[in-house]
Formats: sequence, structure tokens, C-alpha cells
Amino acid sequence: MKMSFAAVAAVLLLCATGFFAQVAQPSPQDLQQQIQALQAQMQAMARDYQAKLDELQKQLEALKSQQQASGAPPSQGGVPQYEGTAPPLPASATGANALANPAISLIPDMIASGGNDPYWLGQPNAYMREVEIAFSAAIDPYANAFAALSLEDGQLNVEEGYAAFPALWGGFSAKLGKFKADFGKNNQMHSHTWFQADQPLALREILGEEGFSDTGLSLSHLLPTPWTSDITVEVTSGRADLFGGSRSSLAYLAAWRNYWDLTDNSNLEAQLSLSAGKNAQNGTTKLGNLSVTYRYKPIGNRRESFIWRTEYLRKDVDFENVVTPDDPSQPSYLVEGADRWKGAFSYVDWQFARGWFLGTRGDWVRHPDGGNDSGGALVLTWFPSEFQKFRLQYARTNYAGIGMRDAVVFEYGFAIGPHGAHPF
Amino acid sequence: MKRLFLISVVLMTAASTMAPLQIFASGKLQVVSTLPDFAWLAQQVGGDFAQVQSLARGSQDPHFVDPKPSYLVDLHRADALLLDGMQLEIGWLPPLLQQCGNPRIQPGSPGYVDLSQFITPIEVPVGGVDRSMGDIHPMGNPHYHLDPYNMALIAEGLGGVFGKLDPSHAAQYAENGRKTAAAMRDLGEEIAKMLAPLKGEPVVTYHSTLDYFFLRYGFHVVGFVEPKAGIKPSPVSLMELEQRMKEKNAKLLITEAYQDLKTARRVAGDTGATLVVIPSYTGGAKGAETYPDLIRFIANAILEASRG
Repeated sequence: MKMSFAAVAAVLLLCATGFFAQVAQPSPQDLQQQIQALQAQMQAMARDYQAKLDELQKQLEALKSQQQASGAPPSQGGVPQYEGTAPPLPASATGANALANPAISLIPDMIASGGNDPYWLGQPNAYMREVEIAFSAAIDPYANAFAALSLEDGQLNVEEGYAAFPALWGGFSAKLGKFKADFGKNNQMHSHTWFQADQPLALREILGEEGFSDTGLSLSHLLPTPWTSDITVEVTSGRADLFGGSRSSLAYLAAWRNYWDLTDNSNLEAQLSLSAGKNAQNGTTKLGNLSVTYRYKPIGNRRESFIWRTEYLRKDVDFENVVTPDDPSQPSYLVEGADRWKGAFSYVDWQFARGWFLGTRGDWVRHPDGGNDSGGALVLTWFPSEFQKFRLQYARTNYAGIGMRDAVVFEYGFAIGPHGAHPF
Repeated sequence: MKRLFLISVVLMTAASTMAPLQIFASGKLQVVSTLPDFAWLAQQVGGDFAQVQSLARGSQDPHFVDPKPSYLVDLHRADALLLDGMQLEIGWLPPLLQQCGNPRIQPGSPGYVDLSQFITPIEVPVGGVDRSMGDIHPMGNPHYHLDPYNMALIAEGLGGVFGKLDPSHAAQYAENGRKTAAAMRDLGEEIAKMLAPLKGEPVVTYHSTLDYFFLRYGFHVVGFVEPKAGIKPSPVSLMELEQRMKEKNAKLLITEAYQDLKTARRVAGDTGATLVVIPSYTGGAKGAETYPDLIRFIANAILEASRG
């Protein structure tokens, strides 16, 4: 206790001496010296802070210019001046939308026609042929969804609606759902991508107005050939109006596509597609298509291009009918036969200026009874931008049993929404 | 028909059993780039361990590449796909990815490498974006390759990406990435010195392809031949442009070689400006076979034209 008291007293005494020493009156010289020392200290501090501030300023500028244009050195000064370009916004906005909604596009197609062609006489003089509503989005990391709904004549049809699996085991890709069959090139095109205002006569008469599309599974694989080649196999329901077999019968299709780059600016594609399925007449309907396409499109030039496409189609409808004679004493007998359809078309589309295309098409179809329809068309198309199209077409067709008929068709279409790229 | 079906099934089975054998692979990291500039850069970073190919050619407008089936073969065997991103390839890459049958380069996979992740975009539109604005890229200007400092950032990024895809050579890729990035920065400095006399120079261009370049080197862009991105100029829009060029005393009209040169020539003729036609991608012209050559080519062409 004594010890601690002594210690506290000693500390207090020391403090007091110090305090009174400070309070003691200094001489004027001392004061002046102290003030000078303080001034020098202040100046040194100011210099020090200025240097630090300059350094910080430099770092800030460097960071700013890096942010503005990624990776600029600090020496890069000067704010760029821009006119006619939009100011910035955080890029994340578009990303969030993409996650919440599928990409939706609306593609209306309007037609006005004149002349005495029976096909166009069967349509109103001016009408909205189709409004395609297309949706696409990734379903999950394994599949993408695509649907094209077609609003025609007040009815909503599923033109296509499938899940696409781009990368299955073993390098396969697949489609599951309703899709346009891999039966030639033209059959797979949506109406707004046609090179003419209508489908070639052969496709319309042999495959029907809707073309060859069906619900099922499609599997594709690249082949290890020196040129680009792939094979597609499709198993589908055997659509009623094209095959029409019983519930248990399916339709099968195999397509072999081959492609060659002739030069940087031109290429050639040839495809063979064969399909078969049971029909309602106890027989088999067999379909075949041979398609050849030549394209010329100089790279680095958007003002000229040329495409030539030719397709040959066949449809054999084999049938077996049990005929029961009117006279009951006579035995029933079997009638076997086949309806054979043949057809072909060939067209060119020549781009002669940016957005301007001139095309021509030749058509031919042979009916099972031997009658022939044949004709030709001349087409002028103008795309003011990639999203709008004006088209004028004149067609002359010689129908079996009807004779020569003419048609003038005007088509206007546009696309809104992020409608993506079409397959080549 | 049944026989045909069977044959095709057999063919496809054969193809699928061959695919895992990597019949195409050469033991190197297979890299496919959408643009030739990134292909050049990737080859610098990949060195001897990578084989790099470009889909588009240097003379081509990368907005309008045909998705040719022959690209499928390259994509099918690729370990990595390098793309510009920011929707530049939206018109042609998706159907190729859909058909190539390669899970390694599908969006979300490590091999799907959107290079725009490494840079800071400019000209990102504000508010609503629609096509009344032309072929606008909602995520900003995608032509970032013409700024060597962006290429430096990408080189460093690729060093890491390749290292993840091929860990056995990760150290080399990282080292190559750093070296290439340093070279790109040196190139940037070199061009800055070359073009220093032209800082603030008023220029007119065709499309916004060179905006990153102009921004980097301090050019003052007073107008575009296209009234809006991707939209063909009209007589009225050209008249307004010519008037603005005269007001701002723009003496240089710089355009990519694949644009409509007839229109560009007319505008230059009407205003007394000098037309500078440049390649905008690696390999787009003789003398621009590598990326540094391309950048020097562009800088030289502008410098020479400015001297009259």
C-alpha cells in the first residue's frame, strides 16, 4: 500500500513539474524560433500532401480512362467527342429481359392477286395470308425451344413447335415435337423466307398446301467425310393427309445432305431425302426428293448475289383395295395399284443492288393420270431493310384440262421482334 | 424403304462411335473464332498447343456471314469457340451451334467464350431500344477489336480460359497471355504516338465499326454515312451529312472496304474530303495479314490521307 502511494505521488509530481515548466514564460527569441519551426513543418506537410494529392489525381485519371475505354494508360488524356451515337446504359437490362421472356416475333404476310389462275381465284383478292408468331428461348442447359404459330383465316395452327437438343452424346443433335420435315430445301422454309410469293407448283400439289411437316423425332449427325456431309433420320406420326395409315403405323424419313465450298464466294449443296409410311389404302406411300442448290455470294459485298435451286420430287401411293362385286355369287378380289406423282421446279434469284432481287421460276407436275401442269414465274423483290419486303410476281401456268392461266401477285411482309437466323 | 432406314441407322451408329475417337483432332487445343482478329490473338496465346481457325474472313462484313454447312465441321471438333458477342453474330451463329452437335461449345459450357466479357463496351443505348434506331446492338457497340488495349485485356483473359480448358499447359498460356497483352499495349502506344498530330480531327465514317479506334486516339466523329446503324443512306440523309461535314470542316471520310464505296466516293467528292478505304478485320487487305499490321495499316492510311 505504501509502495503504491509513493508511486502515484511520484507520477503526480513529475506531471506537475512538466506542466509548470510548459506554463513558465518563454523568451521572445524562443517563441520566434518555435514559430519558424512550425512554419517550416507546415510547409513540408503542405508539400507532402500536394505530392500525395497529385499522385492520387493521377491514379484516378488512369482508372477513369481505363473504365472509359478499357486499359488506357494514364498518359491517355482527352475526352472523346461524339455526335450521333447514343449515351451509355448498364448492359444488364437486356440480360434480365432475356431470362424472363422468350424472344417473340410477329411476321405478317399480306397478299393481293389478280388474273384468272384458279389457285389465286380461290383466295380473296387481297388478304392476310398468314401472321406467324414465333417464340424461341433456351429451356435449360440441354435444350432450346422454338415454336412458330401461324394465324391463318382466323385459325391458329402450330406450324412448328419443338425442343431442339443441340448436343447429345456422340455428336448427335435432335428435334422433338412438330417440325418441317427435312424433305428438300424448300419444304423447310417458312413462307416469309420463300423466294417467290407462293410455293412451287410441285410442292403444293404433291405435298399439299401445308407442305411436309409432322410430329416426331429428328436425329442428325455429321459424317466423317472429307467434304461436309450429314445424315438425318426422322420418325414421325405419319400425318393423316400425306400418309394416313393406322394409329400404329409411323412414317420414316432419311436425308443425306452434302455441301462443298467451291470458292470463298460460291458453294454447292445437294440433298437426297426419302420417306415412307403406311397409308389408309393398305399400301405404302413413298416420297423422294433430290435437291441441288448453287449459291454465289461474294464475301465483302452485300450488293450482289445469286442462287439457283432445283428440286425433283416423286410420290408413289401404293394401294390394295378389296373389291366386293355387286353380285354376291362372285368372290371378292384384290385390286393393287399405284398413283405416281412426279414434279420438279427450278428457280434463280439474282440480287442486282442492295435490297433488290430479280428472280424466275419454272414449274412442272405430272399427275397420276398422266396430265401435266407446267408454268413459269417472274419475280421482283425489294427489301428496304432486312425486316420489310415488297414483292411483285407474274406467273403463267398451263393446267392439265384447264389451259393457260395468268396471275399477278403482290406480296408485302414484315418482321418485328428479334426473329433469329434461319438455317442455311 | 425399311432397308434404307436401317442403312441410315447403321451409318449414324458408325458415326457416333467414331466421334469419341476424335478422328479430326491433332492433339492440340482446337479453337474456332468467329472473327479473324481474335483467331490471330488466340494463336499468339495458344502458341504451339492450340490450333486456331476463323469462320469469317477479314474482308467480310461480320454482321452478314452465311452460316455455311462447312463451318459445322470446324465447330463439331472445336474445344473452344471464341465469339465477339454483344449480338454481332446473332444472324448466323445460332443455327450453326444448333446443328454442330458439339456440347463443348454450347452457351454455358466452358468452351463457349464470349470475348466481350473482357472489355467495357461503349455506346450502350439508353432506355427502350427498337428497330426505328436501325440495326442497333442493345448491348453496345460490338466492334471493340480495333482498340489494341481491348485486345490486351482479351489476351490476358484468353490465357486463363485456355488454361482451364487445357490445364497441362496452363502456365504457358498464362505467360503467353501476359506477353501478348504487353505487345498489344506497346502497339497501342506506338499508334498513339503516330496519330498524336490528329487528336481532335473531325472525321466522318460509314458505320460505327471504328468507334473504339476513334475514341482511343481522340478523333472527333461528326457523322456517319449510314443515317442509322445498318440503314441505307437516303438522298436527304446524305445532303444533311454533307452539310454537317462542311460546317465541321471534316476532311476525312473513313470507310470499311465492304461498304457501298460508290456512295462514300460521292460524299467525299461533294465535300472535298479525302476518302480513306480501310480493311477493318485482320486479313481484310494485303499488308493487313496480322492484327498489328491491320492497326498500323489503318493508322498509316488515315495519317497519309490527312497529309493530303
